[in-house]
Amino acid sequence: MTKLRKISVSGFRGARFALPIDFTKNGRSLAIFGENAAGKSTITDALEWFLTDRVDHLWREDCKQEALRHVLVAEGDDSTVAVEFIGDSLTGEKRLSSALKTSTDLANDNTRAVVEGLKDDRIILRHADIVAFLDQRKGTKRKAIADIIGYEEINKFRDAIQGTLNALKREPAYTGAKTNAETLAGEMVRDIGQIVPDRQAFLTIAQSIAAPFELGTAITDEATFAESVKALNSLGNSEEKIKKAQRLDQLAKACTALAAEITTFIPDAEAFFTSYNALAKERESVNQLRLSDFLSKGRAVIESEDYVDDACPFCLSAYQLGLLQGEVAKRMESMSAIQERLDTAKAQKVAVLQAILSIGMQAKAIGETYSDLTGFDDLMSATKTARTLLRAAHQGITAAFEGLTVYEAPDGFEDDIARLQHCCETVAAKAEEEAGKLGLSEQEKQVANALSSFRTLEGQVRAYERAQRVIDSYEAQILTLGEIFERFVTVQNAALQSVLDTISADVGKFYAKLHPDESVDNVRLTMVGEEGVEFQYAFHGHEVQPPRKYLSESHLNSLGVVLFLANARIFNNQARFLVLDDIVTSFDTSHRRRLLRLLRDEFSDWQIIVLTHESVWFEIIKKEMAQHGWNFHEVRADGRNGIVMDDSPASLKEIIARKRGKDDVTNDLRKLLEMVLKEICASLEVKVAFRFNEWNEKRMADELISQIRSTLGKKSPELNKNNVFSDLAGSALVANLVSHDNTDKIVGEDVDVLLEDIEKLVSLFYCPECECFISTRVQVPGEKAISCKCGKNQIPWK
Amino acid sequence: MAIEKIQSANEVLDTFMGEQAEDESLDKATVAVIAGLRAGDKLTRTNLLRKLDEARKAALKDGDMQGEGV
Repeated sequence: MTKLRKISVSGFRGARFALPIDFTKNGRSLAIFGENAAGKSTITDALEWFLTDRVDHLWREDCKQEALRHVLVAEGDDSTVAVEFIGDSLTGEKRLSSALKTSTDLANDNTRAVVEGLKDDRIILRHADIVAFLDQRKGTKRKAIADIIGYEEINKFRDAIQGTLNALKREPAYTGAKTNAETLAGEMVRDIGQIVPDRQAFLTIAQSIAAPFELGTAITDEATFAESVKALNSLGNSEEKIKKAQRLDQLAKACTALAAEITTFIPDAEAFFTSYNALAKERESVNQLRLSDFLSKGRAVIESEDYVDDACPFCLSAYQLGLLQGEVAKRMESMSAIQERLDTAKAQKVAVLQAILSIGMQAKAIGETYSDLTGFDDLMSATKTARTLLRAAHQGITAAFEGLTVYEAPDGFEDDIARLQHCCETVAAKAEEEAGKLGLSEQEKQVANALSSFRTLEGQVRAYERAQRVIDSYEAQILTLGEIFERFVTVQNAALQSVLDTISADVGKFYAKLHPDESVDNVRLTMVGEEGVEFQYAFHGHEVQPPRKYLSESHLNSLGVVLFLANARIFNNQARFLVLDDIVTSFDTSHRRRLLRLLRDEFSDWQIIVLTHESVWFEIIKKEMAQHGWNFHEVRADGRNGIVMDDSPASLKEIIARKRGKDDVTNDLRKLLEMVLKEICASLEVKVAFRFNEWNEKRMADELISQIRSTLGKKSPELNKNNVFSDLAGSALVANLVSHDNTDKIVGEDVDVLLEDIEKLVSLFYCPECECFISTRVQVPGEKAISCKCGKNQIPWK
Repeated sequence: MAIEKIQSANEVLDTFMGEQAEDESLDKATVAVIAGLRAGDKLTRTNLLRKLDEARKAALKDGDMQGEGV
């Protein structure tokens, strides 16, 4: 888990110059105070941009990279955000050039892994975002909760199963097989009065057909069936004549069935070609159907009571609302008609393709089975030609429909299909006639009929079994997918409920800590219906939802805050730090204290960064949290310098270095000198005249130098002889700086001289090793001297 | 801590698919296809339909019915 070590922001949002924040090597918590518009949120924005490449509240308003650069950053200078995390060399810097190009430099793979891990964590809570979740719809809340722990993976799984299940049920091969099986079942019932589902059932039926012939062999298996067929053939005077009669009978039946199917097919195909091609010619209108969702949602907006503007809500162009409503209604009506035609064409296409398949299969069977019979050459030729054309038509229709292009039937398609139909009708009659010419006896006719029945039924049973196998193969998958889907919905809901229970445990606990002994308790998230999630709570003992029903604005804010804290504590994988940016505006003092205690008790090992514009709240935090190791800073807007953090010599020196030659630095020099002198005075316990409140702060350099020299004269006379005091005291520069309202500017080499003098002064009392001033609080044992914290720098002290 | 009670999405799916794989009442081939696509991070409607089609063809052995007779 990761905490922040340092952040430094420069040229970014409100920070013109470096705004460094040091959280110390222990990653301490920090409270930052700044008046409204001081630019505190620059720190939050910088962290968000560093971690996620965006600043959500700006991006939502379409203010992007250009809004990130400080307006006074020079062309060619980059805006930068540098972040150091606690750990071994976990540093990175993100830059935004004046051309608004972003570049990121992360120190190593470990840093990259940390930053990647932080991206999905909950880190920043702004006042504006506190109640955002509370105001979402139930479905959106559910999705938000699901997203928190990567449940989109679960949604993807569910959608894939459900989508596949629905698509399988509609697949033409499946629906076609079902239709085929139903047709075959009907034919079998018509022919023999029952459905014969498989070969074994066929053998039983075959036995009942063969029984009247008293063959002496009962049909029980394939061998006895073959034996019986042989015996039947031998019953007449001519086995060959019987076989031929039986085959002619079969041919007549097959041709009659095919001719009947073509009779239905021709007008169906024509109807489809006409309606589909008319649609294909209106391709643009059909393509507009993709806008139907958009239009129906837009229509709901412009017809709602809330919408009263005379403008299009999408492009904002002026448009009389009544006309707009009428126009959208007209377009939707037109789309509805097109959609209806498209649906009809789709259904027609499915039927036509199935008919093409069926006709092709029958033509193939006739061509392959009866090619040895003489006198039917026209039929054989017609089946061959028709199959080629049917194959081309099948491919052409499929391709045209996919591309929504006009379909043109293959050359001669209609004529050749009609020719096939004519041949079938002719051959059916001719086959019956030729069978009659064979002059079979009554018994031979009965044998031929029995053998023909065998043949017909065999074909039906084979096709039925095959269709059934296709159906079974689909239904095994459909049933399994259906079962998996149903079970998964239960698992998904249980998993989500487990998440809700976990979040609710913390939310309820945290909320109770903020609002003990109040009328609201047992706050939790609960599932509502199949697709929703909502907060529920007990209000005076009655279960209530949603939160806005009874909760005040302050309580709603509390709920938003505790939800954020609960989610962060439960789900953050990488971040062990939180930024709470101005989140207690509507809290009263007691609830603010309770929030601090909640953070202290439940987040004691977290790094919390609190930003606030309320001085009273800042003081409360100081009093409550200083003892728990928190640090405190103030930021303020310093005119053209942008945001500055406290007043630190380091940042002032950098500001002077960056501004000199371009801007006036007189005021910055004054502040730097005064700051250094104040630090020395505080460390050496230099006595100055009493002043009230802020006037105590407004001491000028000459007064402070004089008092330091006075103290040194008594306590460290040798040091008092150092030239730097006389240089500074006698300097005309100091004389220039003695007034806070001085309008004279310090320029050129005078800046260098004063900076050198300040450096000399600092070097007498400041230790670069421990970064502390020599202090009267650190007495050197056994010597009349005082030192810095580490003891490396000392001065004599009486 | 409470977080230990919460399964990640992958854990939920792993557990669920493990249970389905052991259920004799389900079509083994279908469950295997889903598990295989999930393992390759390729579980989409299109991929699942394609793999199920292959599984059906393998089961039927004698080829795809559609277009065969034309």
